[in-house]
Amino acid sequence: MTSATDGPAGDVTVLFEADHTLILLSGAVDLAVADDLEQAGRDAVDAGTPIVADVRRVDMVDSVGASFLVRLAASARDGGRTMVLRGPSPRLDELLTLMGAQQLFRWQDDTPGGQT
Amino acid sequence: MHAASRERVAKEADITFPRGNPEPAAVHHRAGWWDVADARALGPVRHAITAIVSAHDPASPPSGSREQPDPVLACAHERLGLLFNEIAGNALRHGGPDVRADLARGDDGWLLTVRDGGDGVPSLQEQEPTAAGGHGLHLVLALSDRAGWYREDGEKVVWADVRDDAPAHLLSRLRSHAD
Repeated sequence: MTSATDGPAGDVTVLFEADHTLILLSGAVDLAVADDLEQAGRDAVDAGTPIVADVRRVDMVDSVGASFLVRLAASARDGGRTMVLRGPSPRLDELLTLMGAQQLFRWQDDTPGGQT
Repeated sequence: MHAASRERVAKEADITFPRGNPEPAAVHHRAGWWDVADARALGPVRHAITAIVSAHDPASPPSGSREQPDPVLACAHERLGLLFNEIAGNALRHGGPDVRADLARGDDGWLLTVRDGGDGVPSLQEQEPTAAGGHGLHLVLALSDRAGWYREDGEKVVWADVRDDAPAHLLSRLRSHAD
């Protein structure tokens, strides 16, 4: 059972655009959505286009969610690309910093004055 | 793991996940306990923990400014929520069964304890950002003031001591990136 104070459950959606694949993450991105992340990662890599992750609606992310993004970013780097994160998400930014992985990403922030 | 990478990890981290009990003085009263049946229980239990902890958070953050706001993880309830996810998530994946979380209040901080019935040993794995796993316990050490594990009554117990004020080692890592 969930209540209003439980916060939204995690959600993972993949959208295939003409020139990129968009992964929409929202809610709590953790072990509860591990299978969805794995499937989304496979689909996105199979599509073969640059991957953009929209993380603006992420309420909570732990090392399960961050590791998923890091693995996608590493495979993008191997293909000569830099994975784009559509933010902001200070929680994810701080977690990637603690994991030593922030240099694998380019942030494209929606806020005025945000990094682009 | 190759000898070279082991050396590098030792140099970068220079820590192991320590075995030992927290000092009894760290605990004053029990704030709550929860069964964590599976991954879907992480959210509800985490929200219960952060609700208790945020009631103790200072009304305004001490040093943040408009130009350079405090990190999100400067807040104790954010650290506890993430620590709970990492420790309980590890227990669900590698330990279990019967994962249970305890939160206790001390003078100026919290003790988070997670038990499971598994017989594994928590280990710090290679700290490659692109590794599939192994980040959890490194994060536990980064987010807490002290952490460790011990065995009691056939259970594995992992604990994290979390002061109200964010540890200096955490803030310096987060702020050096922001500069």
